[in-house]
Amino acid sequence: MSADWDVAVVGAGAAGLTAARVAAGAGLRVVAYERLGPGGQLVNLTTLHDHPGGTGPELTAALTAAAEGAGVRLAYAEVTRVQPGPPTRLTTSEGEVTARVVVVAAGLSPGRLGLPGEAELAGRGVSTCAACDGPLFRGRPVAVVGDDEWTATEALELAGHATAVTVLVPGEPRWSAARDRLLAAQQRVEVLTGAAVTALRGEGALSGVAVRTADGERELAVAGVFPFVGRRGPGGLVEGLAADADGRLVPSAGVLVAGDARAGADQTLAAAEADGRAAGEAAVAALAAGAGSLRVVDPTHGVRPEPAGAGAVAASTAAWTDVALFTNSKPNATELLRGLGGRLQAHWALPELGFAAKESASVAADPDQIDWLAQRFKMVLVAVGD
Amino acid sequence: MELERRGVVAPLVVTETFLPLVQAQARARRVDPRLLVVPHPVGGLTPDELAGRVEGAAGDLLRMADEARGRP
Amino acid sequence: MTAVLDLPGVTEESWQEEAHRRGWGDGLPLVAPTPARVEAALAALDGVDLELGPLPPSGLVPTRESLAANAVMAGCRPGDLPVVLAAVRALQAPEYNLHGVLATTHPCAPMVVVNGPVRGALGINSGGNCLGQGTRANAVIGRAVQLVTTHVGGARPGVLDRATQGGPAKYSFCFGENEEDSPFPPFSVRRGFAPGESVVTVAACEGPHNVNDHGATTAEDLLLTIAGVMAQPGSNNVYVRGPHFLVLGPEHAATFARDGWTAEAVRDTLWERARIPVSHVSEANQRQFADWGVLPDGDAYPVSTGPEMLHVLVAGGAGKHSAWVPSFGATAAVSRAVPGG
Repeated sequence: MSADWDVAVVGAGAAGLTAARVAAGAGLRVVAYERLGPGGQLVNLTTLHDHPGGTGPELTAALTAAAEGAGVRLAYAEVTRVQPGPPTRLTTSEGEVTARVVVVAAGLSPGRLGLPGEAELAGRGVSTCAACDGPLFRGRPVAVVGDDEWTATEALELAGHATAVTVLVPGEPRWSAARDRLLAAQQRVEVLTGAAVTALRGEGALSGVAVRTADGERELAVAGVFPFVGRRGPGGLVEGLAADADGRLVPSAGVLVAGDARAGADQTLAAAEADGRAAGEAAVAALAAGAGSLRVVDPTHGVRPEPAGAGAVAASTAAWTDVALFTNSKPNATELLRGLGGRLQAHWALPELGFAAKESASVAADPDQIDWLAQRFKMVLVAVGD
Repeated sequence: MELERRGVVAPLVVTETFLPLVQAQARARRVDPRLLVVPHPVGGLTPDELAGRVEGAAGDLLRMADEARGRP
Repeated sequence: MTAVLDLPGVTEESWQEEAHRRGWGDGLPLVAPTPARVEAALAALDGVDLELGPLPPSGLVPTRESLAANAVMAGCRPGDLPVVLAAVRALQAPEYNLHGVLATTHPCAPMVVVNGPVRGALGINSGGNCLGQGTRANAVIGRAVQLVTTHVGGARPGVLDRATQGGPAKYSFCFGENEEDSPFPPFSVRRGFAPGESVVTVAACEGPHNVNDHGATTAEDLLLTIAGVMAQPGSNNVYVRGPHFLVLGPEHAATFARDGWTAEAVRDTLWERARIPVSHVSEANQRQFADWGVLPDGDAYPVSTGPEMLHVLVAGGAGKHSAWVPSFGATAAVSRAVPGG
């Protein structure tokens, strides 16, 4: 099986870059596709709470350098479709490529509240990147919406900038006990459970949100809201691969999934890196198993029988532009031939077609006619039986 | 079939009805002709029906022709 | 060994996809024909000449290896190969009309009937559900025969195989005659082979058409039902003629035998009685039959050209069912001895 790449990684976040580095480190030809820039969710983080790697951007730089050092090619293109193979075919914004193994590490889409005005207020109070936009809210109150590990992480990030951070949890928090302790230690952070955001307030810039809790509806005056709900995995990206309710992929034979894009993934940096490493190793193992390649006996093989009878007569000198029709003159045979000949004439852009007709359907072809056709033409379309 | 023996690419247009006959002849001559099989009959068809026969066989013809010529 | 393909990067796991991509197979999973498996299968053909000619439309002669590769892909055990070989030899007989069979719009499949001790040796089912699923030998032998013509012959569906609808029998159509429960001499013996000889008979047939008669108590009762089933205007046997088959369930066969009927008498009587009234055939179709030179015999059309075109055999288990198996018409029943069998 020939393919453009041994391994194609979709997404260059913590999981994707790690998978790519491990695979390239084993000598495989690896490409990692990223829509924007490397890092994925990492670039959102200034403080890494469960990792010794410094800030998010610092770790991104280190992971990227390590991957490129191992020989990974970073390609800035969006992968829109993956068709499992072999070889697997990837449709990207830069064209189609093939790979022997694919690792999907595309992460999750940005958070989304699904409320009127959300699109208009994006960048004007509605943000999904605490590290990018946090400083804009210095000295002002913000809200974070969500219940997962990322929600807590971003709330902690924002606590360094905002005067108050209200974490609006739609149900009960799902984040880890470690995160919970960190949040509890932050005086500026308040966690409100069973809280649903029902409306965005503000003209031109966000001024507040309407929140409904068990105690009723109330207005929360905030300058910024950071939604981490409504995030979806790359469900549907890979043909035939199942996804959970949030669009996160369930790996199956031949398709590796790593990081947040994987159904059931722990949403931590450590988990993403471990997932990426495992996927890279799995890619290496899959290709090592196939390195000897499967050898099969060709089921279509056969031998040409010895030609019987007279040897072939010397081929004519006619060229492929010399095409003729030969009709047996039965009713409609000539019309049928002319119809088919016309299609071939158009297909090969032939200037003209030769034509010959048997005098009668019931007699054998005139040998002279056969001689003429054989010498003059490269191809003759014959109507023999109606 | 004689034409093929002489190195001419000669697809035979044949209706299903006559296919066994043509095949029997081919066996007798020990050749394996290129066959474009069209539904029976051809005679007595309206121009529209005939156009349908052309339509039905044209794809095979062009493929066969390209293949013989060594083009994809 | 010739023609071993390296499929780089393909594993046993990804082999199905690779085979599918190459256009191999019948849509069901295939066993990868690795050299080791093919060699093991070929052990069953030690010292046997293939005696095979070119397969249409490719004009290629199967080699030992490609024959075995297809058998392996179909799921055959080594012991199945001589039966597969005998069947492929049979369908190469000119009268079988393989090219026509492969290219027709008709839904015919290579029906493979097995007689003799090889049935027991391989576990070929001739009893209950023998025309159905669930018996490995029946399934894989019939399938292997189909794969040989598909792969070596190149008769791929939609390319050369022009079947309008096809039929499920094209996946696999192989069964044994139930000689043990038949009141008649074995089908192969009636076709001139020695008793105790293993024989394969092929013909290009439709899937079987059930003949249900739970009420019959006499041969005459049964003949009325069977003749009624056969006398239908929509089979190729009416105007293309050719062979057709009556596969009697053992209980129906026993009814005939008890009333003193031989297989030949059943056949001859059905020729007389299975008649399609002209009134059951549209005028347009009557003209089409006439184009083929087929005219009614009085006020009815016979099925095929004579009594000898109906082949009577016995298969199946308990129950009051038989089957009529019409054919492509432009084909023949061809029998070959199983090598070493």
